Amino acid sequence: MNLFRQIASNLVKGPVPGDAAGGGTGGGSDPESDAELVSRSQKGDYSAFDALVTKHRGRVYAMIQNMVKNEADAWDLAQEVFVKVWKALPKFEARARFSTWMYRITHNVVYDWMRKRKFETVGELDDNVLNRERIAVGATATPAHGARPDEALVQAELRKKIEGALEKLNPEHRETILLREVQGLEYKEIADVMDCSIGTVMSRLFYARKKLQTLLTRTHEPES
Amino acid sequence: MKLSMSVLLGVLLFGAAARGQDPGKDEIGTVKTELIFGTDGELEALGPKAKELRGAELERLRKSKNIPKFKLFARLGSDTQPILRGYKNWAAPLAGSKAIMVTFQPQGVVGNKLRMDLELWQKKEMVMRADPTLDRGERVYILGPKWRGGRLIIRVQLVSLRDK
Amino acid sequence: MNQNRKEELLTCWMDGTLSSEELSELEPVLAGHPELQREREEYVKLREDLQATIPAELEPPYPDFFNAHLERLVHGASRSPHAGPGGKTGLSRLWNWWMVPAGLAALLAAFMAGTLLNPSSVPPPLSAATAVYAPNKNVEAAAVDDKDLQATVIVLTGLADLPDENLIGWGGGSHSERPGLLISAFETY
Repeated sequence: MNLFRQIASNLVKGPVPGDAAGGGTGGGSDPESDAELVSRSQKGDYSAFDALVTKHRGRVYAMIQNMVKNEADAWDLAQEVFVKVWKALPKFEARARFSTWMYRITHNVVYDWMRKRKFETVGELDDNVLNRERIAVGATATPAHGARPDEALVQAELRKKIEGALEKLNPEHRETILLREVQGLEYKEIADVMDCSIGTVMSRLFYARKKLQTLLTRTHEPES
Repeated sequence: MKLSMSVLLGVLLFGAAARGQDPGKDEIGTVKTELIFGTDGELEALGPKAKELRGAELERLRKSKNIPKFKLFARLGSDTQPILRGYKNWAAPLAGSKAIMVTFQPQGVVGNKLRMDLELWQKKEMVMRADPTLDRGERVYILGPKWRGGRLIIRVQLVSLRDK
Repeated sequence: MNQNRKEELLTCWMDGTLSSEELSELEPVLAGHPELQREREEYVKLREDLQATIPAELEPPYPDFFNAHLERLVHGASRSPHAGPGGKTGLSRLWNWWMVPAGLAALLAAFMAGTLLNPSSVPPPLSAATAVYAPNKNVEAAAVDDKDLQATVIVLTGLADLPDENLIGWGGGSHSERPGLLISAFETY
């Protein structure tokens, strides 16, 4: 039976509003509402979990897609994240922030996937592991990410440039930048997600920003 | 004696490490994918590798209300591949051709049955995704695209499934 | 000031999150490197561009199917030993050999009560029915249990015809690079 006749809807909800520098809270999610849904889910209420999925799938999918740059894999990995979330819900402590915990699971799923791909491919996992050809092939399975008719050419060019620069960062730097600048997480939250110290987060941010600036300026300067 | 024991231990440890390297690559079963063509044309036109279906399997196809009626059904090719515990694998029933491909990935084993994520690809486009549950020996048929006045049918069979 | 401390302060300075004490601590560095102001301005612009182009939220393709497919995975996972929420009852603690009859009866009663009072807490039986989905809206997909074939038939209507030259004559080639993700497979050919 055909249960899902769905017109593909790649809704882009845009960047986190407000000042990510000062008050980024991983924004968008209402902590009280999450707590209620989590509590009900922990009691086995699947409809509450379904609501949690609907609420957070956009962030999870965006984070994964921004890391792996392949829509088909991102879809599968996002599924894996939520299966793990469901299985681990009994261990989730109510006082913790659900979105941070969810990002942590996302981080683990993405890095497991990257490790598996490293095993499969010849050579080291480096900044350029994401082969452009692979991205193009995968993207045909779903509506192309960039094919929005309302997008100005300039915007498209800018995004291409920025995505290209992000891809040249190593995964840790890329993830740190995405979590801070795009998802708006605090330094402590990023440390929790990436299972490292705040000092490491600061250092990664420092070097990732420098590298991005170098990559995106017209003339290349030697990295300091 | 000590040296041989060390060597033996080293071999055993190495073997264990190699086997344990990625449990996702464990083969938990096999899937056979066949490409069947229903046509009112002649078998000879399909080339030497095409084999006409006969006997019970032909009777079942003819009886089915879901399979269009054709003068003959021929198998154009098949591909048997392992099911990997943690990876998507793929089959190309026509060797060297991207025209029709199938991917499959296990989702769960319940009793003797395996639920799989199954995708049908036409060249570089995924055209269908399904999640059939199959017992050993069971099949799923996919009524595929039309071609040369006939119809392509993709048959996927769970050939074997390892016990847990 | 050691390098780690400098990096930490500069990062916070870029974000505008320095306290007044920390700013005082960083002042000598800023005074000695006037280009840092320009770098900060450039980075603020870069961050704006990042936020304008890289989405923080992106609905996965076929979002309804995403949830439905996940539900099927989850209910399959619920049957594993490390089940998710709602799979156990506290009465299982009474499972001692000398309380077998009482435990069994209590377990049965709890199960019945749980099912009646909160049906959603008990995962539904794993349905053998096949869900099927076609991403192209011009294609209809349906899974049918075919008694004559003794198999499930997935009927796809509206698929693009395969061009004439696509199949015969493509022989040869080998399935190398196994195992692999689909993407690897295409690269092989």
